[in-house]
Amino acid sequence: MSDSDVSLFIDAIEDDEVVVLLGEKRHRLPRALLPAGAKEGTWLRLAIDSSSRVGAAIEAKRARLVGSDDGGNIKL
Amino acid sequence: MANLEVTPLVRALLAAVLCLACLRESRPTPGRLAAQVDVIAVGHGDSILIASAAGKRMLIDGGEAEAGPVVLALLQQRGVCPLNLILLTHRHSDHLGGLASIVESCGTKAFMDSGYRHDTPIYLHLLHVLERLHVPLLQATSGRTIELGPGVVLTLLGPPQPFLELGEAGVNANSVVARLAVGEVSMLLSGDSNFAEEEWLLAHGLVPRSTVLKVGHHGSRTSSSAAFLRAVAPRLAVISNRADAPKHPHPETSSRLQETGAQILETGREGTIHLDFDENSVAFHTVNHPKTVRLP
Repeated sequence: MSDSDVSLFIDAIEDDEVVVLLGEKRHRLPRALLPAGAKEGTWLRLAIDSSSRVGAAIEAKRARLVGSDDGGNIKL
Repeated sequence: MANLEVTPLVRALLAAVLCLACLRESRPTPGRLAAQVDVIAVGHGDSILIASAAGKRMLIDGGEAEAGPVVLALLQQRGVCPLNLILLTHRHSDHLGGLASIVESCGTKAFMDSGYRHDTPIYLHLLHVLERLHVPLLQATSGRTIELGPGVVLTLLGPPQPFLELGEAGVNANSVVARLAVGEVSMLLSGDSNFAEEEWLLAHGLVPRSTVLKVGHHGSRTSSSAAFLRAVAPRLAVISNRADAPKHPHPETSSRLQETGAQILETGREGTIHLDFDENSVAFHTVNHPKTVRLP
């Protein structure tokens, strides 16, 4: 892990929420966001995922849905 | 019966009469309600309903996911489901989050957005819903108009073309900005546009005077520049915000708004703000102040 990585520390897990520390500041997140195996005391590393397939899926689906729009003025 | 000779003069007179008839048709009846706008209290976020007297209705944004049921309740109370159109100004969750459930529960005949990329899973889910329900997706581009009835026209002014590429601030800077014109009165709906988009609009002559301004980005410090507000010269400024939001409106923005002389209303204080438009005047009331006030 390099010094430039951003890491969160799981301070507490409370019902549906998890309290994480970013530096000394507390933040609450939904517990459902935790990766499998995470528990109190685990460090989580934030990273940029530029290979995400979500973007490609969005663009493909949007292009398909907008395909028949002629771009002209609209009368509702 | 004498035959009427169709001379060029008669033809010109007929054309003039037809033209006048068209003009009458394209204007709302003076003094009669032509459109209603609800700036819905959704906490932090935007959701705005426009309903014309001609029975056409559109929703701009749907607040956070948690606000979906609030918006849906108002739509059902107003009896406006299914909608004719939903317009998404940009893909931040406080504008987008509630829309999938609204599309599913209220229905809409069409959906429109700008296509400015922000690859959020909430938007992907919305696209799944639109596809499943066969809702056509339309492209929001500057200059496109949407007619909701005689003399009730929404003109899209932004997003900028081409999109402004500003790195981390790009989503707000490419908001759909639109102006609702109802006869001689109007409302500028500025999404979450920021200084950069306002500058683009000003540079392209796309900031017309407007009777009412839906203030950009909940009154944040980086929206509503003095130059932009001078151009709009609103008589009423409406802020969609949360009651306890410390930075919305930001004190600097409040100060700039106050300098315009406009009356300022916040959904965080007033609850949902309802505006009635006829050809030449605007009146409003709010959930917390139900007595109707007509703008001077």
